[in-house]
Amino acid sequence: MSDEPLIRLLDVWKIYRIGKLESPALRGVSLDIYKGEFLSIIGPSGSGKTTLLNLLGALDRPTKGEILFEKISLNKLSPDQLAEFRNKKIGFVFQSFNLLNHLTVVENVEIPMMVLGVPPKIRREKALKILGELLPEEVFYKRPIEISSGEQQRVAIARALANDPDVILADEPTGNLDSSNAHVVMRIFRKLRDEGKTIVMVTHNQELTSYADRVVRLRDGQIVEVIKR
Amino acid sequence: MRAKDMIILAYKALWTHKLRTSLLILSVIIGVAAIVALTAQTEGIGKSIVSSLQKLGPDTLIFNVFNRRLTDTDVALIRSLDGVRDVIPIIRSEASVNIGGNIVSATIYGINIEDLEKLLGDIKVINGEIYQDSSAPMALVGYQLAYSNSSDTPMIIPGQMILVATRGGFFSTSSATASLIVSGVLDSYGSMFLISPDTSIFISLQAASKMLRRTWYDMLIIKVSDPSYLDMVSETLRNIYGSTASVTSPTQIIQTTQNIVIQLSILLGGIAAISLATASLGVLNMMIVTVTERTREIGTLKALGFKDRHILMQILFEGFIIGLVGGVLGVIIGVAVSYMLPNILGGSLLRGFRAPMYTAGRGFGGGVAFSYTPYINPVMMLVAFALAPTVSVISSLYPAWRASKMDPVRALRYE
Ligand SMILES: Nc1ncnc2c1ncn2[C@@H]1O[C@H](COP(=O)(O)OP(=O)(O)OP(=O)(O)O)[C@@H](O)[C@H]1O
Ligand SMILES: [Mg+2]
Repeated sequence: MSDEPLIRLLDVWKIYRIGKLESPALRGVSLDIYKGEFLSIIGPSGSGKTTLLNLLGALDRPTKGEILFEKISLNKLSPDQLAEFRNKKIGFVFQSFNLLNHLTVVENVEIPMMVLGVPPKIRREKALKILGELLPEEVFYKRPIEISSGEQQRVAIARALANDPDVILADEPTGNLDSSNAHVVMRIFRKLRDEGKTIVMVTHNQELTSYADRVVRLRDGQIVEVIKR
Repeated sequence: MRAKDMIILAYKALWTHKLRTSLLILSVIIGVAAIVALTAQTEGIGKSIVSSLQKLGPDTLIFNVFNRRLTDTDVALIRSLDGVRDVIPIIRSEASVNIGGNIVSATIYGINIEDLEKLLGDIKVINGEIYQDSSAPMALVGYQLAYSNSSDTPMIIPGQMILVATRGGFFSTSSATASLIVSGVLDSYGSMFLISPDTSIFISLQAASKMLRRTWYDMLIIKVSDPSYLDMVSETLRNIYGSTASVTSPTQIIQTTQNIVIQLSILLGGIAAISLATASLGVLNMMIVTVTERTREIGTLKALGFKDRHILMQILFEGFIIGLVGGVLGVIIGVAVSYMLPNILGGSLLRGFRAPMYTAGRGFGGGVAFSYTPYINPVMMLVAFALAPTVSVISSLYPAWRASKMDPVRALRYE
């Protein structure tokens, strides 16, 4: 962990408008996230955890406030630049894996590299290398539906790592996994953290927060507690 | 992102819905094949009519008068006109012929042998020989009459006597029975304008005159010295013979025929295009469904770094692949169907449909089907082929745009 924050959230607000109704999902969140830390976000349902993660991952823009990534404001980036930012700097891991079932495991891992324009041979090599550290070889050429959910989530992690991003954003990555697979994923995150990756993970599972360096508790769109471990 | 990778992704996405994709491609195939096959028929029919007309030559006029009889005096008069090179007098009568016990309809032509040669271009006798210009009742018999049942064993052979019962000419109501001696059998000529050799019996003018007991002609075929005299000679003939004179030039009919064929092509092509339009609505419909179904996938792709235009291109490529495959297969199947259709249509629908004039009111009972070769216009084929992917991509534009504009946050929340 370094002293310079990798990501800074400065008084971030997110207000969803449904017709005339305004529903604030985030109300003035300020937070510094450091390189190489494992941050866990907890809080009751509807407290704004996913919203916060989406803003960190540049899938959405704050209604008010600013997010700085390596001192650059995401507000200033165009939609195409945000897409490139997601492609190179962020790796997403979802609760329901979101793998493409019409592609094989290894092809799924190749997608972020495809977007980047990496030639087929090189990206196949790299995808196999990343997969090799997470999964047994016999699943590489199977379709996601043909493998277990624990394996699917590890494929999703491999895909998130494809372009060697700085940050892994995981929204309840263990929500669809049994306890032993959940711990496998946690150990992978822990290892990635040790290798210098920044992990931000949303979870409902209090027990899993023990793997994190810091735990941020949200309620009604506000940070109510930050626990250092 | 490379175009090649996007095409591969589009192809793999389509392949997951094999049935749906195949049905969609099928609808495009039907549209394209219909355009190719239907326009090939009209163009083929048109070309067939035109070429049969052209066999008569561009210097030809067909002359007929309805209120009096044409005799040798008329032949001599017309021969003396400016610009007229030759006059071919023809006697013609519908007849019933007894062939091997079967009564068959045929047309009897009285025409001198060298005139017959001018009319047919070439007298192709496959069995026997030609007749002489004498009063002897020698006859050349059309192919269809001789080989009505099978192509191996002829019903009529040279030297054989055939019994004919004529039913009168243009003005005659009398009928006569006579026997003719077969001098030869003609080869098949297919469909021709004015005369259908395959269902006709040709005898000399003298023989016809004797058999029908008359000295007047049913029509005169006039050859002008140069095609540029056609209008002048027509005009002169109308001045001499008045309004009941019928002067027809194949060149005129060719013009009319070509106009009709063009209009028919547009009509049929239009009908076929409607089926392609229906196919494009199918593409539009399926793409909207697919895009909605794949909302989560689109959200995921955006999270992984897909730009809006990557999503747009991916969906457009899917539409393009459907159109391209449908176009290629549609052209192939369209060409195949083109050549199958004449056997279906020619055998029934177009039976008796022959040259537009001189057949009205008097059916050819010969039962020869109008035969033509479909003409695949390469331009039409190319247009039909190119139309498929174009239309398919256009139909994908709106769904693709909708997909590309999807909010990734909402897309990822979509169940
Ligand atoms: N796209 C949206 N449009 C409108 N309202 C939304 C949208 N996304 C989230 N919200 C609302 O914002 C609030 C925060 O939602 P968010 O998904 O961030 O909560 P969460 O903490 O992730 O909850 P959970 O634990 O159930 O996933 C909720 O009230 C939710 O209904
Ligand atoms: Mg959530």
